[in-house]
Amino acid sequence: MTLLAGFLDVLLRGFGTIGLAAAVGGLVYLRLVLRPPPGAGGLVAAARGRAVTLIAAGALLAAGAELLLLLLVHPWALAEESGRWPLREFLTTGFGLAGLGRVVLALALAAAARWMRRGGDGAWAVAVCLGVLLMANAAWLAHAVSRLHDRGPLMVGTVLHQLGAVVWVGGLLHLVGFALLWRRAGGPAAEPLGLHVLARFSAVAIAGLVLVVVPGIYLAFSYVGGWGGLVGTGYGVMVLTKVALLGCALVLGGLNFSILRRGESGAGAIAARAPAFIEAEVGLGLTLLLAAASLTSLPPSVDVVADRATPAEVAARFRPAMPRLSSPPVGQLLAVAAPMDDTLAKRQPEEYAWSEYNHHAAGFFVFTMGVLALLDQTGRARWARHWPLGFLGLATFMFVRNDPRAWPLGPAGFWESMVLPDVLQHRLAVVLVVALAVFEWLVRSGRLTRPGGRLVFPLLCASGGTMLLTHSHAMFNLKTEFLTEVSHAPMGLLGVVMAWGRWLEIRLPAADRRIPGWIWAACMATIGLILLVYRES
Amino acid sequence: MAFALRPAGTPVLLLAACLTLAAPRATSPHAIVLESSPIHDAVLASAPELVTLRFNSRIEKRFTRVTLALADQAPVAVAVPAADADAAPDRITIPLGSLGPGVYVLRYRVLAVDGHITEGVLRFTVGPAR
Repeated sequence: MTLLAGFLDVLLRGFGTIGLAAAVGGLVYLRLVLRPPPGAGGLVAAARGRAVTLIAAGALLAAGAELLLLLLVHPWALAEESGRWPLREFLTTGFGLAGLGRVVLALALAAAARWMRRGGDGAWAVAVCLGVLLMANAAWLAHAVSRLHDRGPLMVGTVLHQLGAVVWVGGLLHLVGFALLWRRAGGPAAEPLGLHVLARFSAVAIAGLVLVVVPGIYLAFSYVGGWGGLVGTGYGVMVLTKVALLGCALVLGGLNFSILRRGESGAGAIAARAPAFIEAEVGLGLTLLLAAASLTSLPPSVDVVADRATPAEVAARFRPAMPRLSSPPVGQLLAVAAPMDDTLAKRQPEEYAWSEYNHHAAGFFVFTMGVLALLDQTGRARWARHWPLGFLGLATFMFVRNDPRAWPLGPAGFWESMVLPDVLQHRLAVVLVVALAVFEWLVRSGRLTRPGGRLVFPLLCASGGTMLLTHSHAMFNLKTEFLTEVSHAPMGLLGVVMAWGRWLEIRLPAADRRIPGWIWAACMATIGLILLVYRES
Repeated sequence: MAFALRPAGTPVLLLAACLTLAAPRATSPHAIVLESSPIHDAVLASAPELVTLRFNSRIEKRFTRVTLALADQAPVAVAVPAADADAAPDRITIPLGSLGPGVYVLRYRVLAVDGHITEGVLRFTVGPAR
């Protein structure tokens, strides 16, 4: 029960932060980016209306996610032996009170946004005050509040770090809405104001990123401690993953910035390219927020001393070796494996062998598809466009071999085993993989031509990559489990890059599609290679 | 020119669905034990009267739940006294009463001040090692 509650806890914390980004980041966007110039036309009015709607929606999302945590997830996980949920007692803890504070403030902000839409006097000032209070309140919901030392500075550092992320990602969310409106309005030819909005956002985004990075460095030093903690613990690897995601987002932001600097002479090119870059950047930003929520569930590296892996042990997990060509029989595995609900049991060598074989077989499917996708990119092997069908083979394999203790191989029934987050996540992954196969094959065989249909593959890849980044077997901080999971981080990262590379290939003008096309296909082949050398022992 | 909002298209709905599926990391032991008395897998000549756990986080002690099981017997709930609330915020002291020889498994569930719930286990043997 605690495992599933933890799974939901992190999910809801992630959604809460995304809601906060849309709401509080939206206030900053509205004030600093979408300032209406004298005589502003219909575009700005429409964009401001859309921004206010998104602010209200974000505030409601933040409030809803927090309410679910406070009223459902935590009391359920803390249930007493009698089955009673200690709801009232939980709500009087510091976390409970801070959570209630977030709910009240977020609901008030949603109401203030409605007031702003009606043009009420003072609505803006009230909304800004509520936004400030929401960010300050976040300090009491963060990991820093539970620390024994440097609690105050860590809480302040966390709030500033979150504020930077909220301004940046929230602004991007709003900018996607604006870019769509702008393009529909005729782009720079009809509405040159759009160029100024994009330029203003660049300055705000840079300020937001400075706020992310500077307190982030302080937090990393405090929680990670040193190089050993960075590469030898789950927390450190997640910090590295966040840095890599931020780096990818910065590349996209830099590309946008550079095309904006070309000025009015390149206005047409800006309108054609900027929305695609913004959409990809927002995708990376959302993944970062979910990864940050996931990070809070891990013990900081400075606290993990005995169970820390050495850099050599980590490197050994990526050393090429011959893939396993055979798997232990199910009967042998069931004889040694601990019961499914014994989350504290040590895994046996047969379990490692089973899992390695699964990963190697999956690697065969993914690597083959990656190579075929690269061939397809050359334009000289038309038959290779059917590579998505390989996903069906992968999905079948994953479904059958998910967990030998669960249906269809093991004694635990289909629904009985669904309560285990690990099994549930794998089954959700199977659904994703089938969808990947169906949609992308339909697109490549010319059977699905709707623009929205073409975007299904990158969106599902982004979800898969995020799932991998945030996926874990229990007890991640134990050294053996950490070494088991360590290759998931680069694969998740490659999955996310693959997703947004394909997105850019679809959304950019035809002349710009070549490079992202090669990048995403190469990422898929590399994921396959990592799977082929995956090892757990 | 009109700027009426279009209904959210397929990609937006799919993104929402995908984010729901992209479930973040399953729980890990966020609050970990830095020190315990007795230590995990200790073999003790005499039964301990108390178990002490020191965590890396401040703990909301009133939500602590502890069970103790001897060998393969059913676990029994152990009360964590309210007086412990005055002790250090990262420590939990659990009175055990009198224990006979055998292998004991103590399971605990704690709530950290930042709202994360952690389960853990401490095993120790009273009497000669088996």
